Amino acid sequence: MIITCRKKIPLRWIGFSVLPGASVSLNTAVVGAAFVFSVKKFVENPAGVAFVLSLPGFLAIIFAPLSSFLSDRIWTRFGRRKPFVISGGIGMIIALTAMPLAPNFWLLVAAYVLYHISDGLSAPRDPLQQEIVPPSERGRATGTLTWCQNLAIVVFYSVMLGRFDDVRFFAGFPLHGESVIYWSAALLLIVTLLLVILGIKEIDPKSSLVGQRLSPRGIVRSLFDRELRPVYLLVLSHGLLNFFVGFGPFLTTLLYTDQWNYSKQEMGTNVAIGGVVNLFIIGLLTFFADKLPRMRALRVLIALSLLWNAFYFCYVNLILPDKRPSLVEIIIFGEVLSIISILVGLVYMPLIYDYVRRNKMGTFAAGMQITTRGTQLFTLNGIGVFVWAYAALFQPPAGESTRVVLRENTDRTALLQTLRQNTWQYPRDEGSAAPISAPPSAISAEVWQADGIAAKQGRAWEIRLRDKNSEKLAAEKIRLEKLRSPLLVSEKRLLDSALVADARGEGKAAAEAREAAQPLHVEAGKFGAQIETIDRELARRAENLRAQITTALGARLLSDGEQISKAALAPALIIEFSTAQRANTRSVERMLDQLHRSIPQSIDMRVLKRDAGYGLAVSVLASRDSAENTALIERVSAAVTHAVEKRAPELRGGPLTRLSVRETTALQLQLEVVEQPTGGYLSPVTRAVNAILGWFDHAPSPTRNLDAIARSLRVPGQTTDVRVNAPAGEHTLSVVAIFAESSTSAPTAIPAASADDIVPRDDAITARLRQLLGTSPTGPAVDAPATLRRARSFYDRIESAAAAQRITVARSVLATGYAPLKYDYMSGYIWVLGLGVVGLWLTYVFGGIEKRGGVSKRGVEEAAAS
Amino acid sequence: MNASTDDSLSPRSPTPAYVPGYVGAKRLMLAFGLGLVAFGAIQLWSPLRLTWFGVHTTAEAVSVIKEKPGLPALTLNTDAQVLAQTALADRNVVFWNLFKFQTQDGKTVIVRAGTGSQMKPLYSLSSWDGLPTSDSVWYDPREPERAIFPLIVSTWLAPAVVLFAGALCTIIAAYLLYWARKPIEVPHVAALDANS
Repeated sequence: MIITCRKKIPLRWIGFSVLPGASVSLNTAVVGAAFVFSVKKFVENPAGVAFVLSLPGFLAIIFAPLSSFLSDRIWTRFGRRKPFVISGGIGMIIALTAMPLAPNFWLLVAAYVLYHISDGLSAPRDPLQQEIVPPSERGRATGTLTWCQNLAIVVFYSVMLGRFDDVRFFAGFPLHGESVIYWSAALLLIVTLLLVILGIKEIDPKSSLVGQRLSPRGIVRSLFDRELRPVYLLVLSHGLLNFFVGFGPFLTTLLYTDQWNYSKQEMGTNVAIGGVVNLFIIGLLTFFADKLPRMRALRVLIALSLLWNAFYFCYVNLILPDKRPSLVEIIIFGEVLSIISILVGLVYMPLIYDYVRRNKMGTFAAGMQITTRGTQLFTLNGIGVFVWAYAALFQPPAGESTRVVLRENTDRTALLQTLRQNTWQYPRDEGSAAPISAPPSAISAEVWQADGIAAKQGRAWEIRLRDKNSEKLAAEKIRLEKLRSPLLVSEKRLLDSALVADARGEGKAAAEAREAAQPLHVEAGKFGAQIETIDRELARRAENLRAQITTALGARLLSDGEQISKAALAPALIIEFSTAQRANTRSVERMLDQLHRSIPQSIDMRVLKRDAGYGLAVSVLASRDSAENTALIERVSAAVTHAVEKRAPELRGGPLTRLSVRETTALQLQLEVVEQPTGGYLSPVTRAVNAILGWFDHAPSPTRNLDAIARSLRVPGQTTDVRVNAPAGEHTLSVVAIFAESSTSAPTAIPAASADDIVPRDDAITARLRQLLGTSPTGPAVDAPATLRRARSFYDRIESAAAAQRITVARSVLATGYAPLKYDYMSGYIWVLGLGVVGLWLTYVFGGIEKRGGVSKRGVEEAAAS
Repeated sequence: MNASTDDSLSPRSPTPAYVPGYVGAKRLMLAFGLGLVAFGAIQLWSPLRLTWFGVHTTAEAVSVIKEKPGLPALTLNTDAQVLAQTALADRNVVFWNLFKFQTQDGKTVIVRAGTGSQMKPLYSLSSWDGLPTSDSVWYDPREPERAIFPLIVSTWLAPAVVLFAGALCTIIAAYLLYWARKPIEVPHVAALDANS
């Protein structure tokens, strides 16, 4: 049993007292992340989702401060904080239970609102915890709570959230992952609520505030009385710094996904790794939490976090050529910052409550919640405005855009000079009056590379024409899409219900549903037509700019087809071996890597499914000399045997048996690319991490992006064997491929596998391939038009596979279209660095007030006196 | 027994004692915790039994069953068919993967994974190398149709949560019950004037 107001408490009390707070952390994660998916069941419109998610902000400003404030001014036989915690907890349990069962959007929103009102009601949970734990042990309690919160978040993000769409039978009933997530949170809340009800006893502090008459003026005076006023400076300081550490969830997501192109899964991995590491670190730091001089430690830690963030900002912007940290760098920098922020939390919470006596804890908590919310509103809106202003001043403007590739490297000044010597016109609606001239300053040019490297010189350029008119048109398109989205969702629901009704033989219901869907279809169609018109207009304008650029740059642009420097057919062999079991992907990759090093002309290795069991098929470029080929086959057999022994001994059931050797034809292509495919820049952190991984034979291969291209070019039944190479330091991609055979293939042609792989196109690239393949000096003569078409189709696949690895096959015009204003979300760091400095300064202001006797540690004095 | 602040234990003591009480309620809480533990353990037992005593092998994905209430089940045999069906992003649909494996005596068994998925199947039918997607399976040698896929997290998640919540509830209730009849020293709390 736990009671409040004790001078000293056993360690186990700390453990029990933090459980309600820890349970609420899981709820917060559930209602924060999983709820987004729940809303999306009913609303596709992002504006609708954003509106629902903004509700807690409004509710939190009212309910949490009110309940905290009132909890100082009542006394019941159950205590003064517990009635709020219990009633709020019951409301949260009801809301969590109802959320996955909500049959429509409005009931879901009702449950969501109930949850947040109840959460606000239970806000005196924090003062209750502070009343249980005496000041001298609050560091440890904060550490324990942080540890539990971290565990809850790690489990939620790494295990639970991904199961949202799962369905399984549980005790004979179908159970959806969504329900498991919400009900797990509710179940843990029930257990911790039972702890509060039966296990915590509040001691009457005989407060003179009980029964105090409430008036708006009285509330304001109580919130900001002279004893609490200076402490809000610390709260404000932490509010500024807390945002600084977190950078704001919205902007962090945009930075990761939009700017750095990481997937949500990679973001989740980052959070999970950081969370697991933190579990150990928090445990360690909690031991020291009560031994640090709190105020001095707070200042040092704020300064450290400022310095670390400034260092990170400089590292990303000045050291990394693509201004894009790797996941490992994000984790390392983030983890250091995370440790500092954990320490700040361990010091901050006990420190502020040192200055607050028990009977004002609720009042202070109310003031703290208002101050924190107000700070958040200021910082979050401030950063949005700052990032927008930075983009407007320093980033490429919104307007028509064309990416082109030049024959020669050039620098920005020279290219801009050439471009600005020309006359430019704003592309306007067809049929509009006289063309409008654009000022030379409206034209901008930046080196463009898909890997994001910001070079001063280059061959590929993104040229933009600032165009306010097109910007307005694009904004109108977004507005129309927002209007159309809910109509499409409702229409789809009605049509689905019509299908279900049809299947049940309820013809009348089906007809009614279809009838109800019809006006929605018509309305959505109107918006769709308007959107299409805008799309066409924007595309036409961009095409107009492309034509102007092509004229301005003329012969300096690369010609289409020029990017293919080599295309040839060559003889190849496929050698098949039997294995005892199926080789896994990783073993095959490692064996192939070894094979590439021992047999340079080897192409690929793949797993073979045989009538009974599995095998390996190895392909190599061969020669026309059969004696040479025989020797090659022996060398390959020996190399494969060695690779299997070393990398996948489990595949050998006995001696490795060679099953067959087949002759075929391989296609070789050499293409110019914009980026350098291999041997790119390795940052200091990446080099250090690779050196460590090298000890365990896990250092990532520098050619892993080429291996990935090869992987995506392999298509079962079409392109069975592929190898992609890139000479170090050159902007060239070399691809060798063997196509799947069919009985109709001519021996000297690339075998045709399926009709859908053949896309007849006759353009500059096909002409170039025809020219090169027709005069191939090493390969057999091309005797089938199908070969040319397959080579052409394969070229297209190389383009898209390389693009997925941020490698761009060169061509005169890479892209044309409307481009919105480009934001640099990292610029937000400048804003938050400024806020961090203000936060640090506020701690010194507070220190000055304390020295002058304007504030003292009333909480500590009171605990010592009791 | 109800809670009381028992001054009679030490009538002249300046520090009264508090006896928590509520033994009946705490017993109920303990029973609730034990009930959860038992329920979670029963749900976990079936997959655990197969993992411990079953036979392990690798199963290959063969097809996907698409189910929607009111409509007949649809069997999808290729990833292209699956892709066409998942493009609709319909949350009323559940996709179930069917797996094929060979028992020790050479019999081929086709089983449905115990966990389905709403938006798209848990597993695609073929991997990047064109071979069937595979997963570890444990089956009962006497009745191979009873099989589990332990690498699917949802196999364990719900029972594990129930078991964990039950264990936590049991520990808390046992602790509270232990202290229910023991007096706890109540601290001196002077009347505090908030305005001082």
